[in-house]
Amino acid sequence: MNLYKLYIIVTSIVLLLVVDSCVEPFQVETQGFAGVLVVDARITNEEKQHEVLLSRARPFEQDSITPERSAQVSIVNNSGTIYEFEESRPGSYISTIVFGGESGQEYQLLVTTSDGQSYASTSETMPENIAISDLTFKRETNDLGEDGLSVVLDNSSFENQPRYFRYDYEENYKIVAPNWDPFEFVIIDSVACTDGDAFEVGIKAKKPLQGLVCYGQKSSTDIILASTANLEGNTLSDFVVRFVKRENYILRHRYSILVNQYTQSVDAHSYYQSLLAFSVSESVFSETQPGFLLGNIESVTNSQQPVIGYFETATISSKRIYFNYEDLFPEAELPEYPFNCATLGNPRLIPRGYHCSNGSSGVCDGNCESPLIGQIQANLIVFAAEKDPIDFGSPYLTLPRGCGDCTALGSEIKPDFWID
Amino acid sequence: MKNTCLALLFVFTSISVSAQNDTIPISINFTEAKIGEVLQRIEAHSSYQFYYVDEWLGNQRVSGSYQDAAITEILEDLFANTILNFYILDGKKVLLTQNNIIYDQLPKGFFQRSNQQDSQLIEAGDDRESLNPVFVADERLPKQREVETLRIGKETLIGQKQEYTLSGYVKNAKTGKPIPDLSLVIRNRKIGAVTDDNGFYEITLPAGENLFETKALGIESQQKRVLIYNDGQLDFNLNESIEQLDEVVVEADKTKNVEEEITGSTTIESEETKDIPMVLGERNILSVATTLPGITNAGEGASGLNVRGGKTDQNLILLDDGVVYNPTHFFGIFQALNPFVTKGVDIYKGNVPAEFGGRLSSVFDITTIDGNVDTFSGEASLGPVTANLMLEIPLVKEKSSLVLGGRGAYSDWILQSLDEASLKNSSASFYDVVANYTHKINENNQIKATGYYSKDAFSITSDSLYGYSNRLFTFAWKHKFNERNNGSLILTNSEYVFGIDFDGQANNDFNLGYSIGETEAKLKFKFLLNETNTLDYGISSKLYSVKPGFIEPRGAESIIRPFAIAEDRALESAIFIGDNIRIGDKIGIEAGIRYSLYAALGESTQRVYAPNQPRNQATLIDSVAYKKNEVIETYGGPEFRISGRYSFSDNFSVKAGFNSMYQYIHTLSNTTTVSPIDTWKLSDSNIRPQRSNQVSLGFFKNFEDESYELSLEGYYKTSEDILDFKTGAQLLLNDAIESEVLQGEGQAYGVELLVRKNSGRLKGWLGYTYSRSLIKFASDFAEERINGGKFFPSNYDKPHDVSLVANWKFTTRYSASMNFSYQTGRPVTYPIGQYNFNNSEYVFYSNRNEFRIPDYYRLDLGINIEGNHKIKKFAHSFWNISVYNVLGRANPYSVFFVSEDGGVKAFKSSIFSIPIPSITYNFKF
Repeated sequence: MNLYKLYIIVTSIVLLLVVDSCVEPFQVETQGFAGVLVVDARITNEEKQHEVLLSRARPFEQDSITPERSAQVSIVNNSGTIYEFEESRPGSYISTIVFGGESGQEYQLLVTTSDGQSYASTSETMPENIAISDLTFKRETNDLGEDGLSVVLDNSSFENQPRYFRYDYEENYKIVAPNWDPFEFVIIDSVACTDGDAFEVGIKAKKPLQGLVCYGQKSSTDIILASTANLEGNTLSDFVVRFVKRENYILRHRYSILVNQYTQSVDAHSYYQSLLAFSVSESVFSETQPGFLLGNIESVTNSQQPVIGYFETATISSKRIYFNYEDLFPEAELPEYPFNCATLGNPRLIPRGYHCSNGSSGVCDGNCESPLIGQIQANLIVFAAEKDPIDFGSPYLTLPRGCGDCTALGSEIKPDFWID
Repeated sequence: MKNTCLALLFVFTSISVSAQNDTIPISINFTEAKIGEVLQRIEAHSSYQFYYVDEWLGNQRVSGSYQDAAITEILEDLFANTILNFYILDGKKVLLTQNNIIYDQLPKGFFQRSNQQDSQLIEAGDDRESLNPVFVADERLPKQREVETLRIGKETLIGQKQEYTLSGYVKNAKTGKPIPDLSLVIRNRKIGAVTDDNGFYEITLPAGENLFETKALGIESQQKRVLIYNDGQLDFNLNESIEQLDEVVVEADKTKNVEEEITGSTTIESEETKDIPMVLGERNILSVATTLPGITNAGEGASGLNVRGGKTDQNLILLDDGVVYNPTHFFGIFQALNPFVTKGVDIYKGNVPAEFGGRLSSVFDITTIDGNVDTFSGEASLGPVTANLMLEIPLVKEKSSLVLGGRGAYSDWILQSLDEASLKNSSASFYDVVANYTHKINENNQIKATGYYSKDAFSITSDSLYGYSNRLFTFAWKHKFNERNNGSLILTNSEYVFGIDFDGQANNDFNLGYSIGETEAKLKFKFLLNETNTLDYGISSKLYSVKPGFIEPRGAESIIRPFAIAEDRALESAIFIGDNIRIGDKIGIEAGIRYSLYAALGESTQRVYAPNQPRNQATLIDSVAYKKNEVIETYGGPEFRISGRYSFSDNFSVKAGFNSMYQYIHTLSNTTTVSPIDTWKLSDSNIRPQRSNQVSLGFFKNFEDESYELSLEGYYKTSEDILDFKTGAQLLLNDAIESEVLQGEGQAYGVELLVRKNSGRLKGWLGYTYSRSLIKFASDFAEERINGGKFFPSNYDKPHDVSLVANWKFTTRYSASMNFSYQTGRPVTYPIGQYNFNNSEYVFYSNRNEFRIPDYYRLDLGINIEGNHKIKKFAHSFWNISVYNVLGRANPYSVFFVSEDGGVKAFKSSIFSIPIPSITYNFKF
């Protein structure tokens, strides 16, 4: 039996190796490509100038979007009102007037591109608006066993009709530079040799509290979907819109999230579901059959011409909440700051091998790059302290920029809505 | 006759002394004495001298008391129960002979016949009065003389016949089980017999020398020289043939491929798959099937087989006549059938016998072994993944037996040890149990009952547990009415269930489930009408009951509302008749017709959509309620199963066939390969049954005394109303599934070449298939079209497929085997570009299956070591050491794309990307 045990161990090791290379990333080459029109359009019940984005699908090698310019875009409702759109920047079309969609009304998107091709969406009804009834925080351990913050949402639909929701969010968070110093570097002389002396860097007082407190901002990129189909009472309760690990620095001080709930049609919901299914890997063993995902827009001029995208009519309900770290995690340490502020740097002002031909006003013929000046210019470091005793070759102790200057992570401008 | 030496079995003498003349009286008493002792005492007390070989006398004990008795009287009694004869020469010398009588007269007509070359006289003259002494010339070459000679019966002077009856049982020397269907060929007579299910045979033999040779699959061929003197019994205990093509799967009688009428059929014996190297040493009869032309799968880790360009749901997989919905474990990597309990599988991929129906592409008719009715025996194995034990328990000697088999994966450690992030929190385990009971009530009645259960449980993430199970029960009663009529009553019940238990951190924990069950009764008969016609006919009916999906809250806090899609029920019935017609040796026809009738039954609510409109919420115009057992919709029609064979010679034939099928039940799957959570859907008022027609033509040739087989088969198959789905269809818990379903056409054709070597040290086969499988979904509406309504390759369209399986036997104990396969990469839908939508990047895909993943190839090697064959050893052991994917080829299984942080990343996955060694230990007892 010992032999058998040994064998089990050996096979386990072998297996470890086996599936090690099970999934590997690879570079995709574009094989045969057509610039299909992409329509990214949605209107809500908000009174605003709505936006329709038009672009062309692009090969993988191309990072920048190819905007579709000079198209005619309009939205028609079932009482015949036409809302015209105008191109405000390449590929972005803004409605000429402020309007809000009304629940129960039908809307149709019409697009004519500059090559004369016409496209039309199916008529989409603006669903009834379901309000977010509650949005709260909860400390939870997620499915991967990580401690953190869940942003949970409740809502309640009236009739016994399943409702379909899509969410996006915008999160803002306060950032405080942990090693903020009232002084900052000032480069006095960055020219080697020729001006008659060597490099020189000094310090000066900042504007009061400059770079101490900032506000970061992020928007969701994932598709977040929920529905009340199969839910008791046709209500959503404790639906997790966003989970943030406790270790995430964005929770360090004060965190705010604005959740937008879009009540959408069942068709729009299944479109987003498919989009989601095609963009995540669920299992190594079974793969959802991908294919060309047909939205609700078709070419009027050529029915064989594919169109990507969806015209979504959704009602929106938004809610914002705030959270202080110590409210939920009173005993826990603050999450780690994304910069290492424990280790001081000491870059040289005068590099080793610095040499001027013909004295100090000659030409630099040795190592002529000052590491300190280079890092200051690249905005990588901040002043921490003067070296003691004085060392002319490397006079300052430094920290990564973020430690003393929060603008490395956010903006100093406090958002209008922010409540401390 | 130059080389012929006449054995000294005939003593010719002209001295005319008869036994009657001997009158020396003898008085003797003996009890429980050996014959030898008695003879010695007679010698001591009289002048008689005996001439014999000690071994002839044996250990038989005799008793007797004689007072002044004649020597002949004593000796006749003494040898009454032996095969010895005696002859008294010169009044004193007693010659003992085995079997033979010593004739003191020449047979009548001896001199007239003496010039005949043939020393066998029995075929001549039929004079009852004449004596037919048995002459045996030892014509054997020196080498052949090693063949054992057996003597049957004692020659008698009275009641001599030209022919005697020999009967006996043929048993497996190791297991003691009867060997059925074994051919006993009398080589020098051109006659033979075949053993029945009990290993019994009976053959009428001419007296004299008969050269027996036994021939059966997997059983060593034994030759015996049998000298027949009288009626008698001869039992054979035969060893399993190690010489057999252990790894070579397709077996049958040597000429089956040429002689059988139907096209596109093969048989795989489970035992013979044991030498083929497989993943982690697990024997897998279904994977072996994929090395044969016309049978493929979508790749490693893909459950489901594609037969002749058909979908994976088009195979009827039967275990002792009951349907097994998912015969695999662990994403198709392992078979869910116990290899020790599985006897073999008959695969019909071309013409299907009329008794089977309900699936378009093929029938896999898997049978379990019949238990040993004489001795307790078993088989066990230890492999890297599973342990397996099988026991055969005789209950009533020679009548009934119980077979129990159990097999399980050790634990979750396979997945635990995978260093794959997405599987970090995974676990997987499986087991299967099978039991059967066979009872031979009498010569005419036999019953067999089988129960089977297999279960898989796995979780990919820590919060959800997936499980699926197959359950099956079958009962068969075979009854023989008379020599020409027999019948069977078969009852089966099977169920397939899967479920997802979701237990996450939030309040939406649920249990989700699906089940399909069917119960079938089938009555079939065989009628040997005459020499030309054999009829098979019968009726069958099965009731389906499907729970298409339910969800219920798990735990008190869950806010999930219980929901269930209404149960679907249907009745599928059929009446069938088939006639096997043999017209001479040249022509054989298998003509069958099956009329199947399907009725979807209430209670149900059927949705009605506007005609000539795409089916969706908007075109739903009505819904109609049906009461319980009310017929919602019926479908049906005749299915023709016709094939014929014309033999140009004994070893060359051409066959052609036409086969049509109906399929009333469909899998709903929106994954590229089969997944265990695929559900089955019954046809209803919105979903029509699938239909197919296949024509096939094949040439079959055997070479060099049947040791090579060559076959070339071609087929063309069309199918209608096959299912596919709108891209991104939601199939689970969707009560309007018909709005996601597309029904279209299929077209498949191919040429299959197979060369096999069935004997010698090297055995194996080479198969090559060129085939195409195309499908088409056309509609007036864009949402119901795929690829613009044109034909496109199916997910399993792999034009070139090469398989080489070979086994080389070094000695009786050691053999090496290899398995090589190459396939064109399967079609795949590839992203061809990216776009931005709603603040994120996405990829967009080409037309369905426009590209292919790289070609697939793999080489496996194995060494098989049989334990030694000491008869008294407790267990017979067998080691299998194999390396799967020796070349370490990372065959891509799929490519997929993930949107992460607003960007797109491409990944390819392969299931087994490095060589995988394994050792399996098997033993039999």
